[in-house]
Amino acid sequence: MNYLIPLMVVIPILAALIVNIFGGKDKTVKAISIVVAIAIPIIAIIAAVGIQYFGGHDPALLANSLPSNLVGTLVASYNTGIVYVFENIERIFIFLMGIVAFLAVLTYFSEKKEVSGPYLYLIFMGIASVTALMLSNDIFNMYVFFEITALTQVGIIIASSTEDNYEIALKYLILGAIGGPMLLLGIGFILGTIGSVNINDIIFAISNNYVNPYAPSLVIGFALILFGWLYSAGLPPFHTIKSAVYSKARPNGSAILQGFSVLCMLAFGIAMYKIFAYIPYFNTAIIVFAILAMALSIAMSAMEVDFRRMIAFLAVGELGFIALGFGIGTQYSIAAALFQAANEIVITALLFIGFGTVYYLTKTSDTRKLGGLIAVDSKMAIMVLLGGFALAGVPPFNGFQSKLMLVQAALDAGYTELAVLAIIVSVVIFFTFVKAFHTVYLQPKPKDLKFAHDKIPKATVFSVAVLLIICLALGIFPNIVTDVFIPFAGGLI
Amino acid sequence: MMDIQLASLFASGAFIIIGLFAAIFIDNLIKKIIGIAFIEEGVNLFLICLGFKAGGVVPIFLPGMTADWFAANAAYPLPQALVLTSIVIGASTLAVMLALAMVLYRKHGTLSVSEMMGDEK
Amino acid sequence: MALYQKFLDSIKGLKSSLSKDPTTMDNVSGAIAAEFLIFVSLILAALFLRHVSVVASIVVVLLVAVLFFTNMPLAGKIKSEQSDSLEKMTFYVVIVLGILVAVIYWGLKYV
Repeated sequence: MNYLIPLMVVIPILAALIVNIFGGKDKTVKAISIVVAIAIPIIAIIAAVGIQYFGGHDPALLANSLPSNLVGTLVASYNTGIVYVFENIERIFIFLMGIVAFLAVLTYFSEKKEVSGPYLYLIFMGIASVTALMLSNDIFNMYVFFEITALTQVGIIIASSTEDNYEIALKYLILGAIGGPMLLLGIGFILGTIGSVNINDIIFAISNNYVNPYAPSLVIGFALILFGWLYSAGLPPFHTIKSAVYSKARPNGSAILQGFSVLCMLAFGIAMYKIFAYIPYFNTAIIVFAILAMALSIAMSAMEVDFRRMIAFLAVGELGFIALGFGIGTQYSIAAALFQAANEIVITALLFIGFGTVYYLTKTSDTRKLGGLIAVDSKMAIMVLLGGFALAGVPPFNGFQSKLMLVQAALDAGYTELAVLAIIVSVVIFFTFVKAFHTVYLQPKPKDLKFAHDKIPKATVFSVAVLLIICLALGIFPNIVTDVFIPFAGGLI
Repeated sequence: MMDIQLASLFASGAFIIIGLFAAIFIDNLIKKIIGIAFIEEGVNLFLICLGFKAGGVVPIFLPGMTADWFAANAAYPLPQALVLTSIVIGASTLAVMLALAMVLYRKHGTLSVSEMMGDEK
Repeated sequence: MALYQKFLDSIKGLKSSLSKDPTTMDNVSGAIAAEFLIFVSLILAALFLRHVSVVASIVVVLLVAVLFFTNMPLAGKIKSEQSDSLEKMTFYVVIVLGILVAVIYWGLKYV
């Protein structure tokens, strides 16, 4: 028994409950949060690869005790309980999410004297649910944890006390009340056709022709789950609300929110790929939404003047690259998509926290009112600039490696136009970022610019530096992660 | 007698369509939220009717039943378990939406969605 | 040079189409970048059709180019369509849901 696998979910939930109980006592809450936030990535590193059968329902063991007339039937191979699978790919993503969460919590403590128990509750609950989402091998269980993630995302916006945050939270809930049930309806169609919600069972039933793979119920299930996936990831038509959500949270909250979205997207993307990749036009459908995400979000971010909204749109546009990798559907392109996802978690967190310091200093995020901030803290400015380079795909950072891999995969698969599009979108990302950087840091300081704080807290500088080091490390030694992703992608197809 | 399963399928479809209609066309925030809750309920009804079996028995194995008879007559219990979870999620989402509606009503003094969350806000 | 003149005018027109926004002067460069990005991605998306049929792809690329130049400043329209208004968001979400289910369900019969 590998108890560390369920503990990855249990520990954050426990921590969430405890920090909420100790709400008023700042020191206790801080100590608990820091310890737990460090513990999550450490557990992800030391836990051994394995499978957790909840309730001890290991199908291999159960098969021995079955009556002889059932051996070899569909029933004998079905899983009876929820199954968590922990492999190296889950290790990488849970580790990165844990690191981002730790740094975000650290930033939160340094920028706020009084910590809010409910806010930390939401953060830990969200981490627990995205971890479970990554581990779970059961689509209904994934749906449940996804809805919990969505609720914690709403909670984080509500707790952020920014302008118009309630409106955005309600919009997200209303759109979620369309997207979430559609996902559940899709799961219902699959359940009705196959009789199980375990991904392995579904694949087993489809690939062994126990059901007609092109049964209308399965196909509609695919369409609805694809729609739910768009909602979970924030691809069009959900890109406007997703970017609004990112831009209405506190900077550290946005860093965590985008990590949640990437993990939701990956978990459902991988599940969908495992189950439905045989459907013709599966790849085309995903590529269409990838192109829409890249073109619309990046065009919107180029036209944006609020830098938080701009980064939010860039973050959503980068999701298009991940979707593109999934859509092309070769081993190399899926590995590139996974690599891009890992990079996106780190880079976007860096930009949200790094650019968030501007909001911390001046309490405004309108680029027209800003300028000359390089004089306040040049170290932070340079780190943010390097983070932007990583986002746009400038060597030697990780974004370059993953985008290069993606472009090569597109060329190898014969999709030249997609490779060109990926490069052009990267160029526009670079343009948008440099323009924002120039207006915020380099142009002359407006006379009426007032400062709310004089200095950036050390913990924030430390967080951005750590994220930048991870970017550089992944850029110089991409093999750390690609050695895991390429075989995994090979197993998917 | 009309087939109950078919009737519930139609009803769940109607619920979902009413909900989508409400999401697009209704302007009053509270009515919109009630309408959107219909989508959730429609999906729940759909899941429940998946487990329905005409003339079926409770899926509990009692003394005196043979395995074959039980397999042929028991209802499918999994959807009911799933629906319970789904109802809880739906209720909590609804609660948060209504709480936000209250906050926004105090802030804007109106329940009109287009005034609160439209372009010309 | 009529088409070229129209192109130039429309780039100048971008500024006025953004005038509802307070961004007017500051972000014309961003709007032009967005305009070109939209054009390029439309053309490339049309080229993507060559995997289905080369002839269709040629026709669609030409059609897209002509339609684009005749409706030139698209960036402003695209921006106003993607505002934070709940009605627009719900509208697009439901439209996409309908198209997705319809295309995937009925499209599969013709594969």
